[in-house]
Amino acid sequence: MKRWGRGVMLGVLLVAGLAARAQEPFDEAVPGAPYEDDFREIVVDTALFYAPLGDESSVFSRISRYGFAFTTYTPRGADDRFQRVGVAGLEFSDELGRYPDYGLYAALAALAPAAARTGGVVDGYYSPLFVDTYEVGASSSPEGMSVTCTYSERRYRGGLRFRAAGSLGRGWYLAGTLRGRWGEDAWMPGVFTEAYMGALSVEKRWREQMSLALFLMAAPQQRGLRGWTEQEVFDLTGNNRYNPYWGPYAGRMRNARVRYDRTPLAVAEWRWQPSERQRYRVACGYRFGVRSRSGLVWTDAASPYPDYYANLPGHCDDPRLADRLAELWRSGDKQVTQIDWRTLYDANLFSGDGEAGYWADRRNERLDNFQLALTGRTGAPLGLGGDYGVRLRLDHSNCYRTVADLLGATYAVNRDPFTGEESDLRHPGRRIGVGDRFDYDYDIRRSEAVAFGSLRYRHGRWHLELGSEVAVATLRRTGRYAKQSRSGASSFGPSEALRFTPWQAFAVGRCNFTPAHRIVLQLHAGGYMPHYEDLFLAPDYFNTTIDRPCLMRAVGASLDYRVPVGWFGELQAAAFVMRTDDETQVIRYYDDMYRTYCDLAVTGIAKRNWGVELGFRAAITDRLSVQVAFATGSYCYAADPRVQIREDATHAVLMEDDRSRMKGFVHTSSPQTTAGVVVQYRTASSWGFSVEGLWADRRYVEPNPLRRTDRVLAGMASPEERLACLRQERLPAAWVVNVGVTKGFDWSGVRVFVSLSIDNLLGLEEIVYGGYEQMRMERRTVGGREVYTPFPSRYGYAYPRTVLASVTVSF
Amino acid sequence: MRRCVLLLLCGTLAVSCGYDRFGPLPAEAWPEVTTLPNTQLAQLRTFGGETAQTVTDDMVVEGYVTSDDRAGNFYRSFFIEDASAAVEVRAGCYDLFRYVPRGRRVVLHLKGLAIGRYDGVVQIGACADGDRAAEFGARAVLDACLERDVRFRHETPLRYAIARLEEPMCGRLVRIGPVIRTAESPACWAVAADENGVPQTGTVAFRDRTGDTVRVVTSGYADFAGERVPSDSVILTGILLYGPYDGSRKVFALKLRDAYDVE
Repeated sequence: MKRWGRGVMLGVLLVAGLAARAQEPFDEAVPGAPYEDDFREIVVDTALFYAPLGDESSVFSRISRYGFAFTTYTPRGADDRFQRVGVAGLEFSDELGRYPDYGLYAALAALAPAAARTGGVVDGYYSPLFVDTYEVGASSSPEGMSVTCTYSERRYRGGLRFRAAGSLGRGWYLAGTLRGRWGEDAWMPGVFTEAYMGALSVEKRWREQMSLALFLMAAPQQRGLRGWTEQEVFDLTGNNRYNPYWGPYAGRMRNARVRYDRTPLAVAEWRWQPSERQRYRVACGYRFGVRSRSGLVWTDAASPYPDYYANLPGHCDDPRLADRLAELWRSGDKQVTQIDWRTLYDANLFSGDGEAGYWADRRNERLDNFQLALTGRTGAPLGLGGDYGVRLRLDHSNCYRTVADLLGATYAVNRDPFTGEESDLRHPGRRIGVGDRFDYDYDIRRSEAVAFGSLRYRHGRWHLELGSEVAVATLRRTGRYAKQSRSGASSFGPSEALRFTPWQAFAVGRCNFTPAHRIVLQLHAGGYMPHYEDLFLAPDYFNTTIDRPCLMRAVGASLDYRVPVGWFGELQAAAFVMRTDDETQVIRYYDDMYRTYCDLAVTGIAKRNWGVELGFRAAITDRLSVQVAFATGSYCYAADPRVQIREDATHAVLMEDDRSRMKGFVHTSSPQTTAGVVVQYRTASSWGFSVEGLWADRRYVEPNPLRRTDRVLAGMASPEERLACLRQERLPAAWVVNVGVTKGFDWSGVRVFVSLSIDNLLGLEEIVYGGYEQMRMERRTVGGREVYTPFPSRYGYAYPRTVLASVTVSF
Repeated sequence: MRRCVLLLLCGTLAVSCGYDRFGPLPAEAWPEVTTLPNTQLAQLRTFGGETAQTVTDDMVVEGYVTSDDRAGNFYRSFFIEDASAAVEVRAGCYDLFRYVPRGRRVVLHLKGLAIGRYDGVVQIGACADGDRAAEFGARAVLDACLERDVRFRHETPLRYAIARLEEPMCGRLVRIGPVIRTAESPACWAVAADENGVPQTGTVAFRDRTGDTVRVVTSGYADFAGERVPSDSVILTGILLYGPYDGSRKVFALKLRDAYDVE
């Protein structure tokens, strides 16, 4: 075996060792004022690894892919179900959980060749629109070995990545990558990363006709999160990087919100090409492990979060109290501005009988997902051909909550933390300790059988593809706890089986006038299955579903045109439109008008996204190039959705059928207008310099459907507040300047590449990253009438100037 | 060169960072409160009167917590007691039993705070609000003047006959009995929910052998509100109050902490 192969094997052993070390006791299967628990986290990374809704080779896609990290951003304002990842014909991004899958994306990005990372029309097997398709055969990974050391100021400090790929001889190919990221964020207190990833791809080829590939990935990770908060908190602390999730703990920072992921993946793929016109592939994949997110639980106790509204002067009616609180916040006393862990411990230590009033928990999702796909391809590269196949998917998630740390107490009791009711009537009054399950424990099972096919025709410069897939899908919840408020089949045992027939159809036509001059038209339509959290009213506790669950319907089109400009440039233009209907959303929240926890079911959501994207790329000289991109559009609700409110504990209908006046509101906080300019200069001695300016505008705070219902509008304190509810808060335009320097050189027989980038060079600290409207409302009595004022929105701010440096050594 | 790089990689990846590994807080996180009082609680009764007054001197008092709101009968305040008297601290927060559990020693720095009186009880609040001391309203504000010690002591209730009760005793933990419920009093401690589902405060009168009476005032939100009052003679333990609990006539009353205060 070649020397680098030994290095890869050493890495494999290390991966195995890391995976073993990553196991913690909680991974072992264990057989059981208002309470606000807002789990919104700031996800800075997601726009990230792919842009399947646009051609990823376009100027706009390349600039927007990583450039808009200073604002919430989704390509073309689309729902996350339109951002999917396919691996060897299997889909692993559209899982039951909604957590971003960083480890998988990083592994695929490292091992899969760039040519394979395309959506839409591909030269590989069937690939529907909006799926970034990766092929994992090691033979297609670029050969070579490289090690990269990274220094970052965002989310982590240090990183190491090792990558190697190549042929072992006799038809064997190997590709592997190891990566570690660790350290605390340089700017956001409490944010940290401890993430490792190891991926291995092994392939055996028998001549060019048959191959067997195995892809393994393990990516144990922990990430401390950052939270949104009210503007008043930023003003009082004088710190736009304020994070409410952490507090001092024995001289260290302890974050109450940490995300964990230990979900390895294995994919096996067998390919057979009996003739030039026939190809077959069988792939199967298995994903298992546990994802979780930590938090705090409190019962008969004050909220532990420092920015709970009762702790904020802006929510005080008494101006003297407000002044005193403001003074305390401004003093910077960490017992006031951050989580006071000592006080939580104190409450437990001195509780008398050792029962916990506060404890740390984890919300877990244990995966057990299996997929099998059989794909066939017929036809030559030119002329008429087609793909066809079937895919079977069995997803099983066991969702449960466990005690992570009793914070000095001896035990807790398995009761609803808010109502005090029994969480499990089959084991009433059960005392729980670290690692024990409590509050909820249920399974979600989804099975899906998909048949897909596509027809391709190529003739000269014309290419036409028609594709469709149709599935039969079943989703069911099975509760393991009988809740006191609604026992029996309402909470325990299987729910009714929800059956759907999701489908997609697309047509793509392309004409390549010349290799650089082309036009592409894409049409698509589909029916998409809702996420289970939008099908069940309170899936953590009950089997009850929304009324009349149905598929979300989507239809859209896009046109992409590229034309060379003289000898030095290329102009690109794209236009898109997408309409979605019958989307559903379920929100569990505390209703200040009904003074109880409620489930808000929003149905009939219709959205309309359209826009244009322009890009221009010019090579001014051999060394100097310029790229300019501009996009604008509209991402709005197309109609007023229907709203139903039920009491969470009893599911009694409190409000049957109201409308939320959302038509015309922007449904995402992603900017509707963006622009970017990138100037790059390369020298003969392999120096590279780049300057980019990015601008994002027409951004809005994410609206809250409850606020626009008749019931809430009627309860507003004044006509002005009523009118304010019918408007949407606009965020200021944001812009940054980023610079980068790179240098490549040879040293001691290896190739070295050094890069340094500075984002937000000007150090602008007032860039609002995004925001959302809260569900809560202040209640007051005015003239004998109860009136309400919505809570202020919550925001997050972007990073100030940050540095990212890396050194890559390639062998 | 390649070996060096690989070794460096393996060594670095093997490092455990432990950003999310925490053990219990050390005992040093709870030092004893060594602050000593310079004023007795009984002296606070000379403050206030008809209106609340603001403290301008560096007065420091201590006391042991005698009440708690776990059972829901005390609302947004707690009582402390020393050898001389007792006062009510108008915290203005909920779930105080987790913050100042029964028996805990606390030290209060009174400068800038207000002292008033209500239902015969001396009250400490954040500031003067007309004739009363206003609530602190938030724990952060209370924490600025309150030290919570790790020492506990459960105060022995004062044992007095009803006839010997006096207003300066108000706020203290007292034990009265044996007494028996008067015939005209309600059968339950309070109304847990009326016809509109709204809890109502209840007043139950008890009489001792000499015919003297004392009221027991119970919030409709107390978890024992709907329980039947024993018809046999009982011994009652509670916080002593003096207020208009017999129509508009001022009488002595007890506020129970929980159902275990009835023997």
